[in-house]
Amino acid sequence: MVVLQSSDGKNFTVERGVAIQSVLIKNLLEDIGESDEPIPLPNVSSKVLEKVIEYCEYHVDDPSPILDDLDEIPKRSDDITPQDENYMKVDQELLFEILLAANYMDIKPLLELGCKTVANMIRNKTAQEIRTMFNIVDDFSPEEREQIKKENEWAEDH
Amino acid sequence: MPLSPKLFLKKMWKVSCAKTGSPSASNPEDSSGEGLPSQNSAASYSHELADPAPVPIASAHLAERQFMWNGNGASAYIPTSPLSTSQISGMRSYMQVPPALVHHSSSGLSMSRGSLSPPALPKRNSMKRKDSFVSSTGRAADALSIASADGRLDFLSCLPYEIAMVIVIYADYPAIQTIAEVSKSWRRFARDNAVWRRLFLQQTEWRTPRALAAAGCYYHNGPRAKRAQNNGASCRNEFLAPSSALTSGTNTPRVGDEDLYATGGGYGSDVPSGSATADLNSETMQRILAAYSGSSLRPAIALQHRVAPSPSPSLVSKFGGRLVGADWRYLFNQRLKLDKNWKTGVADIQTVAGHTDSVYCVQYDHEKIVTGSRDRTVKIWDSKSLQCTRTLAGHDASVLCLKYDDVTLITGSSDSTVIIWDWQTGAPSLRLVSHAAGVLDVAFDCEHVVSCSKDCTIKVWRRSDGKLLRTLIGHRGPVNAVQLCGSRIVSASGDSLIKMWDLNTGELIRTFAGHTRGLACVQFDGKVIVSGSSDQLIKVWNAESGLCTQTLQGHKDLVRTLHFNGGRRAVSGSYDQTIKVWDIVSGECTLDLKDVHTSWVFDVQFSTSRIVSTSQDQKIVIWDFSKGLDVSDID
Repeated sequence: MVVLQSSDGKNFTVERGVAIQSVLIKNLLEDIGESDEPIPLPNVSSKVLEKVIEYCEYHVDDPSPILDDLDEIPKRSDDITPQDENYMKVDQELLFEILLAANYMDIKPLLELGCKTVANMIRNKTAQEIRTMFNIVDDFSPEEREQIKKENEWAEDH
Repeated sequence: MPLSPKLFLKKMWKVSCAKTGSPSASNPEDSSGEGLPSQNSAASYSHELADPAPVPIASAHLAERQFMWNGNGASAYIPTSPLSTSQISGMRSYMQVPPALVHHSSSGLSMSRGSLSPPALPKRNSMKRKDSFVSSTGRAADALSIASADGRLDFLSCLPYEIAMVIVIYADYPAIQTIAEVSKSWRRFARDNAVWRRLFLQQTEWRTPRALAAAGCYYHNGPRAKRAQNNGASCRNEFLAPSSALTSGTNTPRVGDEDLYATGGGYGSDVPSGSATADLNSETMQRILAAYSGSSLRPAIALQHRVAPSPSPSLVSKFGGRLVGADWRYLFNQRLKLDKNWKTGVADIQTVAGHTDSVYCVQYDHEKIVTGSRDRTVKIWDSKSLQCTRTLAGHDASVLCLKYDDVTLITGSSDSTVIIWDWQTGAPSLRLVSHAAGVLDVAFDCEHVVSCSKDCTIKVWRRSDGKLLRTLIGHRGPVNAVQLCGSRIVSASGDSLIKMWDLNTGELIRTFAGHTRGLACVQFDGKVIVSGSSDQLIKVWNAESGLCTQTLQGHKDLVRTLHFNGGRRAVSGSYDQTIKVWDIVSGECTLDLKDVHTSWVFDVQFSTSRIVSTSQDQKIVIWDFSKGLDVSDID
């Protein structure tokens, strides 16, 4: 068992197999050996850590992620399993924190899942719909807007 | 004796603090970039503005394995090129930031945030800290402070650039266009060179040797020869990858890495595209893809910021995209326009006359066009001036077929012989004599020459000395066309059958039946066979299953010639005097070129921007779809 400590000092005891889905923790355990001392995760709050652990527990039996980082292969974001989709039904704040935690803890499948989730939120939306969804202010000047329109034109008649 | 995690963290923090000597550690006032997730800092976060200043956090000490874990999320941030100050601050927020600094950065953040969103104090300010070096506030808290009251949050702007980029990676081309219109900060993503590089290279058929060169992938730019490529001259055209990279996979130094830095692909997972061109046979491609796919991963996001200048198009073409980074958005644009011309038929048509009889065969590359004629000569034409630069005489009858690579030219003739020519001297270096009738088609790879004849046989010769290795007997009619890919020979005959043979044993592997009349032409890329027949149809076959997957209908006479190189596009020429462009997946004829040739079309070859065709009307016609476009990096 491995003890993980969130930024707010809460300890989570998890199975090694669950913990080492985080490459950060896997490397740590390899470097310093097993220890009863909690591993501090100063960038991850207990709320987020709990959620991250939930993911790792779900996926404890998953095979190692396939290396698919090739630039040239179009990335799909429509292949999320219903279970993962359900897991990702969280508010934007928590989703954001999960992304940061997944990156910090180096859990690539979770990071990708989170990024796919956001990508799917963007998909097939207009710029205005995206602004509304993410509370973004349209900060373009009229000239800039004209410029963008022009720049995108070569694409539109294709 | 391993350190306890706490001691370890402490040590780590000290080291990183001491070595950092960072602006924030020594000068806490300077906080403009500190609150990374703010709009302001995001705006200055572009990797295109890499700060040449010395990197405070030297990768050297971080690279030591014992420290890696601490910032491994941040190991993604270990720069291989100088980081901008904003990047460094982004990095720092993943490091162990002392509470004082975090507090400072939070306040700095709320000031720089301006009116963007309601100020919200980091939620966990009052949390009890168990240890002074374990910061209770962190990036996430910073980020939350800029979420709007109802929890909506500008993901792309708030996330570190590289994580945001992972989101953008899933965007397709229309989505990128939309992203450009959202806000200034989002627009940066839609203008990131790496995004366009990826969009470009994702198009399998756009990966020409020159595009790959612009992408920083070494590719031996041999002749873009129609048959030479199809026929497994891939031994010449492969990526020049060290064998170790092809066999071992992970963590092998990647080919073209340095070149990539020079070309400045962009953000992290900007892996040198290990992919092969569509022209390469698929087996080679799979192998290379597999080898490269292993080499790219390690941190959650491989983050290597590179300076990516956006040079003017003229610079790109001047230096071939190697000394300066290619402008991928520009290349994408040019390529889209080129594809549009292929669809609408906007082409510059040039006609070359010079042969004194029917022109039976053609192959061309960027520099030259090589043709063979019933006038018994082979002529070489300058690709630009279209002047005849050489005439090769040696055959005693019509030159019916030809294929060439960098080293040799191989021709077959009605005189029943095959000649291997020396490019240097222009004289025949070997004459292969054994066929009992005219040689109708030839193919070759590094070691073999394969010829087919009106005598109904196929012969395999040793390329080095012209020794006849074996004769393949099975067709009951003249063998009109032959292809060689890997260890497979594919032949098409007047007996209306396609046959697949083993190059090394001569064994017949499969017969493809379906055409109702004799076959005139065949193309084979290792997986797919495309055939043209006197029944006026073109058929697409799965080479493995032997099944016909598509029948292309449109020609009104014998389909005399075909070119296909592994993509979706195939071009055919017919005795109906037209040339047609096909999408072999949809089965649709996408372009019909007529009223130019005034007699039977004998041969056709296409490349990224051109089609060259030859005819009984003695003319060579060049159809150029790149008029007004800069295709120097994409063709």
